[in-house]
Amino acid sequence: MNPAAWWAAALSAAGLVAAIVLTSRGTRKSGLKPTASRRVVRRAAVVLAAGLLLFVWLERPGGGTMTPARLAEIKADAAVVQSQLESEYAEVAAKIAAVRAVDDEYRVIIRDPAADRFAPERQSLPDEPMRVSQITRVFAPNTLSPGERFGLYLARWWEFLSEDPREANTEGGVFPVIFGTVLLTILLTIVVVPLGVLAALYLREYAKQGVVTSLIRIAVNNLAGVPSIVYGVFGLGFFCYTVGGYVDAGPGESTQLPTFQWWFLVAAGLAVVLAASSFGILSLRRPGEPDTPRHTALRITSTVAWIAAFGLVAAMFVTTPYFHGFFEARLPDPTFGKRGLLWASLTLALLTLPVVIVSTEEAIAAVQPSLREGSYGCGASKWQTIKRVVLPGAMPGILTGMILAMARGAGEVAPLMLVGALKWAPELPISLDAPFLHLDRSFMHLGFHIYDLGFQSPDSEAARPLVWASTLLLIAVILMLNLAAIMLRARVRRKMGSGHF
Amino acid sequence: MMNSMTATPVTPEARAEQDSSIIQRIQQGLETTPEVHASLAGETPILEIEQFSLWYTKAQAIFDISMAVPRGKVTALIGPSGCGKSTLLRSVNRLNDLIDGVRIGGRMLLNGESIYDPSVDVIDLRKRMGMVFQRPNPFPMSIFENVVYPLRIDGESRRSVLAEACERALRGAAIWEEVKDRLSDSALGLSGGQQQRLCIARAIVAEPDVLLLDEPCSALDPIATLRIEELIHEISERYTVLIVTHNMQQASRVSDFTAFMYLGRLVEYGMTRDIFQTPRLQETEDYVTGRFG
Ligand SMILES: Nc1ncnc2c1ncn2[C@@H]1O[C@H](COP(=O)(O)OP(=O)(O)OP(=O)(O)O)[C@@H](O)[C@H]1O
Ligand SMILES: [Mg+2]
Repeated sequence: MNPAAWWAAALSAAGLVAAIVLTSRGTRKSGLKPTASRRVVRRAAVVLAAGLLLFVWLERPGGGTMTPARLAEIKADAAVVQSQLESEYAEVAAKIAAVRAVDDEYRVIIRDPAADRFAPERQSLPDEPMRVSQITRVFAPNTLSPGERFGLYLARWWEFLSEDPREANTEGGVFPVIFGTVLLTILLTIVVVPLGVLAALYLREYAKQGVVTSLIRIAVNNLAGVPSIVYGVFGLGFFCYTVGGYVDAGPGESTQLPTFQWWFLVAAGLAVVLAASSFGILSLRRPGEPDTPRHTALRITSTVAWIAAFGLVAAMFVTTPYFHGFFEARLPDPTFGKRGLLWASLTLALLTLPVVIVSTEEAIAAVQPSLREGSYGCGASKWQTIKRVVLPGAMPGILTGMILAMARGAGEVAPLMLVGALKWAPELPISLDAPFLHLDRSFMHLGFHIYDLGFQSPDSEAARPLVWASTLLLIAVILMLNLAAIMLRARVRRKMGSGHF
Repeated sequence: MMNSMTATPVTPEARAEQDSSIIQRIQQGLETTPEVHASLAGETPILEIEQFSLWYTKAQAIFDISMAVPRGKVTALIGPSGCGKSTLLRSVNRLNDLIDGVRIGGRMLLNGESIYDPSVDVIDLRKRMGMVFQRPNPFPMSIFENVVYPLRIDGESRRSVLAEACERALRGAAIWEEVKDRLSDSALGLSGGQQQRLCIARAIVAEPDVLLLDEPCSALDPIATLRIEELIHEISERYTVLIVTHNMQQASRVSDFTAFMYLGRLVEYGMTRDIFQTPRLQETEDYVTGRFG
């Protein structure tokens, strides 16, 4: 594009930002609240500056362009790394082949005097005797002392807890499964608590109680009654495919708009945001004045405009010609556009959201009005009052909501089958490679593991003890997570009783 | 109490003008003119209340009150329960804004600036006033954090400044000796009287222009009450104090001026000595001597 236009836009954006900063300082010093019209003007400046900054950023000259020389350099570097990795791989493969050869030299044949058969290598290969490498532990049960038996018992437990599953999950341990369960629960809690608390704060503290808040409350309560498999289907369709696909590849060719039309959409969005916030400011009544129909009309217009603005912003994302996905280079292999840990935790967060909203709302409502008045009387703003008095006072209730959400989320299986739990995930979702926490990876989950062992395993007789053990483990894990949360709550209560908040 | 003097009868004109007693007229919802003593004319007002009325949704709680609160003096608001004393006090720092459906009429001026002007920053206004409520309301935090709360929300975070202000305020509220070793303990562990003095410390820590006290002693024992009264005496040298009280002795001990309210109206307003010894209205005398109320 024309560099002159770019410079003009950049300069005017900088000027607007400077003006906003300067005016904000002036009003703060004089201690007077800007009157409605001044606030509208300031919002207009902010909105315009935001639009211009976006324009300047997206149209920056030379930004993100790739020169052929640079591309060749990168390709050369990549080739070096590739050849290194390949030689490493060849080494490892040679080692594996050597080990295999040794392993193939001997087979184990155990004579069972009654049946006279040997232990097969696999259930499906009855003619192949067992390999040496398949022996994990040798002991003679009848000659063990009670102490040794107990030691063996503990060792088996340790193996169960600390090792990877083997032989299609029917042998070995369940460590990655426990890990996946705990990680998923923690992630869902991290997502759902802030979301639920913000929603409850909006409903209780900011929204004007009326039709809209009632509708939202009804919707939240209904959300609690939706069957969990529905969340799974929703998560798969919305999070995995729609949002994940967008993150991977950006909006599809068919929905992208030409640059000019897209900027028109942006301008419309900014105008609507400005209109919505102006109507909102103008609908504020002066203290001590009654509510007039004019105020009500302005407030409703403002709400409608905010909804429209939200729609326009969504449309901006869907039609932008500038964004081509964060993982364009890996296409057509999906990175986030498939089932994974992130989408599973978001789905479960949605599932447990009503619990957190409801208990937080109750906790907020239970904070004594006299405390709020005391805080306002000291000259605190609304947000300061909420942050320093209301939220700490409601904290035990919020944590109760968190505990309930964790308990519900950790035991859910049905939605996970659709959005990310696997029978066998080759890698843990965390590793020492950046970004350390791999939210795009699939994971294993105890609940799903139990289902898999019980119904999908080739030898369900052999898997039955594992089903019992895994179930016990699931209960223990949930219990432990809950205990941790309950201890946290007790600590918070104690602290509140003794200061430092 | 001081019953040695019978009240001198009100000016004959005033009596003649009113065919029934002022209380009866108020009860009948008729217009009344409050008795404002001439002694007030010599004072510079810090707070001027001009024809102020207030409605809760439908019910009117304050009827057309006009009074000037003198700077640097203690002014007591007395009157039977439900007559709108707390409402008037809470209107001064606009705490009534928080209640849905409250409407007002008339004006209030602080230092000549209109409190209810839309361009006034209500946060800043409240920072210039300290308020103590009928029931102690310490926050669920440590004693220290409670006291420095107004400074914290003002963005002060230097430990030394906070510690110094905290000690000064706690000493000012006559509670320093009792809590100095447990500043980091929860304020909820204090006794009711201690909590109330803590709230007073919180109200004075930011050095407000006006101190609003809504029956600060109603939850206290006589000794703590006495301490608070001494405290009000002391701080009245620096602040203007507006105090609501049901205790006539207290009003006569701590205040320089007294306003008698009844059913949302101002009845008589003047120097405390005059109100208690030579009130112009029979009703005022009846109320302050406990024969009415
Ligand atoms: N939040 C409210 N909503 C509706 N009416 C109220 C509210 N607060 C007070 N009132 C009414 O306003 C009138 C004055 O109340 P106010 O609390 O000011 O009385 P008061 O003089 O402080 O009484 P007391 O001495 O008992 O504290 C009363 O009739 C009361 O019922
Ligand atoms: Mg009261």
